[in-house]
Amino acid sequence: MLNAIYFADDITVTSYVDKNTVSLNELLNLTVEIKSDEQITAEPEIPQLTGFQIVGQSSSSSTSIKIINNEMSKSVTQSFMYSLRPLKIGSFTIPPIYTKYKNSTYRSKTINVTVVQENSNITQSRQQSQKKIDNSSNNVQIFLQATPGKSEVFVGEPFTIKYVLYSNKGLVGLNAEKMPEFAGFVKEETFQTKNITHTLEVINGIRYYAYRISDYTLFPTNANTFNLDNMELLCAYEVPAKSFFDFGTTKRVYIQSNTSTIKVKPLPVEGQPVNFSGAVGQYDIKSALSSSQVKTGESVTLTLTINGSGNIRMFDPPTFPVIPNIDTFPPEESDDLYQPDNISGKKVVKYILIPEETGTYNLPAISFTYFEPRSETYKTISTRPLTLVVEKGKITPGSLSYIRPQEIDIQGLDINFIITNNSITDYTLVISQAWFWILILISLLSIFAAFIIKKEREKLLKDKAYYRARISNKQLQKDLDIVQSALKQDDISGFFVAADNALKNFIANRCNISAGASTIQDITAELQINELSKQDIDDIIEFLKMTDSARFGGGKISHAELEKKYHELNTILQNLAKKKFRKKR
Amino acid sequence: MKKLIFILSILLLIPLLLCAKEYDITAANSAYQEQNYQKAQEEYMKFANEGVKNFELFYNLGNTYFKLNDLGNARFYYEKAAKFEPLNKELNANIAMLMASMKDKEEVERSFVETLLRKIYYTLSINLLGVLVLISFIIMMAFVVILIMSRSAILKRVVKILLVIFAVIFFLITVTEVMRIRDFYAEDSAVILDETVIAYSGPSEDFPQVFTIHDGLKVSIEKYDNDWVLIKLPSGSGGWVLVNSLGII
Repeated sequence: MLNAIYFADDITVTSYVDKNTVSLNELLNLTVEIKSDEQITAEPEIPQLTGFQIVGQSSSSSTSIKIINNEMSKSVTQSFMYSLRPLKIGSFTIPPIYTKYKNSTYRSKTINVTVVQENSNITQSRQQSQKKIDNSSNNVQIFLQATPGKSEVFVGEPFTIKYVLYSNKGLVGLNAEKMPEFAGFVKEETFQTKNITHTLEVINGIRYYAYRISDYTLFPTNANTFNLDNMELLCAYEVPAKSFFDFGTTKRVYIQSNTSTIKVKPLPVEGQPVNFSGAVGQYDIKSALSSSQVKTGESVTLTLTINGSGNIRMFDPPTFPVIPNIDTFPPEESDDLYQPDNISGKKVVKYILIPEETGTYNLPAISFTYFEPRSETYKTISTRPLTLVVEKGKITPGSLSYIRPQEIDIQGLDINFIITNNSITDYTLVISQAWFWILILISLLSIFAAFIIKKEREKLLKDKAYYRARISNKQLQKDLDIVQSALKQDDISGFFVAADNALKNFIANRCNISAGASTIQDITAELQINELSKQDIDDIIEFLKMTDSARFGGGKISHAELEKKYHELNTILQNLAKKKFRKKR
Repeated sequence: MKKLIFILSILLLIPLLLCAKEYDITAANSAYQEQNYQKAQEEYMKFANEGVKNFELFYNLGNTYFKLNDLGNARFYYEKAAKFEPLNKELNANIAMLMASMKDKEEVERSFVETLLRKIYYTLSINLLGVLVLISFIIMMAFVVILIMSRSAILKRVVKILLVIFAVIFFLITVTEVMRIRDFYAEDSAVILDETVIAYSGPSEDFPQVFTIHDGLKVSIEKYDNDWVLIKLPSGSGGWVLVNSLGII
């Protein structure tokens, strides 16, 4: 857009006017700038200007020194200003202005100027959509220029759009009122102005302050013809003082960008490969293994790099082919885009492979399909096949390191199944059972039993007579056993001795007297004390006397007679056992 | 001595002699397995009508009614089964499943402490508690006997401490057992069996309607009045319904 810059060596010549439209009663300022590295002596040659008359001329020179990377560069600008007075109404062209220096001729571009009627406020826009602020006295021109990088793209093909605000007055304020949304596109803002800085640009022969507002990179998502959203800015500039008492004012104006139209074409359906995943642009592809030798159960990373320019973020990476005995996990994907427009960059896809079996594997080439807008064709590129050698490792397939827990797939809910117990019993409470209460009763009774036993034991310990009476039966049993055995053996003297013993012992125990020391008289006395009947006492005494005489007397007694005596003894003992004996301490 | 052993063995044989009658529910189970739920229901009900009380029977009946889409009866038998094993996981899962299909929302929210106490209270079955009551009583009596009989002062002291411990255990177990038995026989809750039941503010249809409830909802019973019963919803609101519209657990 820069008008009239022709350069050879390091000299540039620029010419511009302060306005394109001028009324008859105004003056047009034409400036010719000669930029060079050093001070030179050169003057522009002003040609014959149709429709204008040069009424004034002045010149100035400025030197600027820039130091970049420790290198100093100097530039000298010589400005030649001419005041032109329009002579008649109409469209005129200011021809190129030539400047000669050291046998070279430098030329600026032509400038179109329209001369209108006196005091007219009408100024023609350079473009119809542009908004131009005109002030008849000050002639302020501000417009916001949206410049798309392309006017026709395919779906997915990125392009840039830049917003630059041009103003022939220095701005003191700038505020974004409405930023474009870009429906139908995925947008990425690649630049946004943070402070009011400007560069100088000459458009149509007029020098403007150019403010770069923002840059976007757009990715069309569907095919259509789009009128891109307008941007709206609020600009403030200062109106200089016109008189001594006027301090000047700040004026605010709304500026809307021009409308750009973008035609988004659909990707051709014909010839679209099956594995096309939406990549549009221009790419190359390469793959690499983190290691060409691994052990079973260990992981190896296959890195796939897709390098190029286009919609790098918008497409899916190629799927990794299934290789028997190698576990493949979902790939890790990262995008790295380059500044300033985020169009070129690379997509890095990492596939984790875990071989399960030993052997040499040929990893097949990975192919990638993209659409190339330049040639309007689909292209498929592939990596080179790789070889992976797998050795036996410590971790065997099926071991824990292999298991990756997965969410359990629940197909439906149902109640728990019935209890398949085919035999059931009616419920009965334990405490309603007789045995429960019987056992309770028994354990209660055991306490009474314990009491009784304890009492008995105490009695036995304390009362010797009671003890002897208690043990008399046991003693008697022993004694009678001896009697019986003597009877069996027909041992007459033994029989009588034993019978005598048995009876005496029993009485002694019962009466608590010494058995060995007791005579018949003692026994009789004891028995009488215990109130036995005369008959019973007589029977006992008689028996004892009989045994005494039989013992010492000797003589033959028949077995039948012995048995009779034994019977007699039993009768006496049974009789005695029934008697209650007085306790004797 | 011989006599004592004889008596004891007789006593130990009593439980075996008293062993409850067994019922064969193979036919019902296989009908259920063949997904012939109608037949399974008839078969199970034969035993239920006979008055057989058994966890498995009620649980299976609940399942059968659930499969027959009779939520009221399903809940009724599940709750009956829950009287035997309130903490049975499968049973509670099925009840939760049933509650999800019910028309009336019934939320059972229990605090952590409540859940814990409930768990402790219901962990042991009534019969196991009964056996524990018996055992702890016998041990206690044995300690008393030792106290009476023993002449060793040290043994007596030790036994005294043990006796106190066992007395506390016995007391706790017995109280729990009594409460559990009371719960078991308490007919203080019911399940709505009819598909839609209207509750009135008094024991007659002439009284204003207070709420409408549906089959499967568990309610508590407050009091009876002829054919009418005052029920209380889990939310706390009460109303009179006809006694034959619900199944008393």
